[in-house]
Amino acid sequence: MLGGGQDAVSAPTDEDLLLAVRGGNVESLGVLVARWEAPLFRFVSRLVDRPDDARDVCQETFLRILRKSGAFRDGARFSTWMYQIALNLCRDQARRRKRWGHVVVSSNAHASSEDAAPREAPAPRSAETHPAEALELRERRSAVKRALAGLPHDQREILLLKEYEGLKFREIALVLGVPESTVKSRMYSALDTMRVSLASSGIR
Amino acid sequence: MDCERYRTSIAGRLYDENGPEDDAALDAHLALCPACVADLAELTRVRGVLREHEPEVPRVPRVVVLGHRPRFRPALLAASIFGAALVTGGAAGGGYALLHTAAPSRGSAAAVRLDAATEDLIAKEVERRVAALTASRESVASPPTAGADGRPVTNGELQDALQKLERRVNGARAADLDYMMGQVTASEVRSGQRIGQTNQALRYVALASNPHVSEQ
Repeated sequence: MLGGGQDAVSAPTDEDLLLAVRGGNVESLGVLVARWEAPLFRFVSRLVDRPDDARDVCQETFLRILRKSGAFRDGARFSTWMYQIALNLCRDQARRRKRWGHVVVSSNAHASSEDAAPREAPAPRSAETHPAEALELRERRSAVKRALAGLPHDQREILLLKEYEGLKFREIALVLGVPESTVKSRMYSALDTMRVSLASSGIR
Repeated sequence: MDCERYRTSIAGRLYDENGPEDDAALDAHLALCPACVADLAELTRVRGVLREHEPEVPRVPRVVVLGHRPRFRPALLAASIFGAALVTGGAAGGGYALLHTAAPSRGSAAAVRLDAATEDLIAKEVERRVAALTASRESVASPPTAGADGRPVTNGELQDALQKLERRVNGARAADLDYMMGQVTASEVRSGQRIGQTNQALRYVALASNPHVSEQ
């Protein structure tokens, strides 16, 4: 997954593009945005509670990349750096939200916004798909989402980066600034917690 | 048996990221430990569930491309500055305005001399946008912590207050965007150069989340 979107052998790498941004070619940022906006948004939106926050975090991530391109270390991977920035912003966002946590009475309070409504998960279509099966699929997907949301933050970060963004353990270790063994250990705990949560939702 | 120390290797095995030594040690342990064999099978199954039922995400905010005109026409742009095409709604944050101030456009195009009337129009428009921005920011207040008569606030009152607050915050963000776009457009008119020529990518980012700007 890393180096996403490089669909031609001759295409510049993410790191080349960032060096170009650093050298004043701001348009290269547009290419990086095009390559990474979808994976980044997918990751962030699963980490923060609200789609609006996810949008803000993604935007701020790209702005910081532009502003701090000079701080990018030679030899580092762009994607690792990008996820690092995004993760820090997510944590800041979570801290801000926490201050208001005690007065938030309903997590659906903002569900009226069009953007706040998650795209409905389409059930796989096939000739055999029965409404009851489609309903069951939706319920299973909701259970997975709930179980993910219930994970401790440090485990959720790792599980998302590993399972859905496809980073290697050593890359996650770089993003988080912890040893690789810690990442693996937290990954084990995350999957184990998921196992228990899914079992309690009747998913085996 | 010290199963705990093999957890990292089990995680590594699940994603095929163990070194040969870790793999060999894990295999030796699994040969003697049915509990860890069962653990590995269970976690493999959990991975399958995660893959099969990957939660959906909201739509990715659209990245927009603005102003792909063959030629820059300051007069047309000046006329459009006061139009409604680029304003209202959306969330873009104030970062762009800061960046724009800090990094003025570079390029070879000569600055355009504007007549006094146009400069005056731009100044008034910027003033209007700043006033709207200030008013909208001032209208954002904290939700109540107690009712008017000192009694604890009810859930209903709190929900109402939070919804009002959210509407005000959205209004403030819309005003931010409005102000920002006013600055961008005014700079384009003054410099005679589309900011898109030097700062286009930044502009894409700033506008990416504005639902009222359509793709061109």
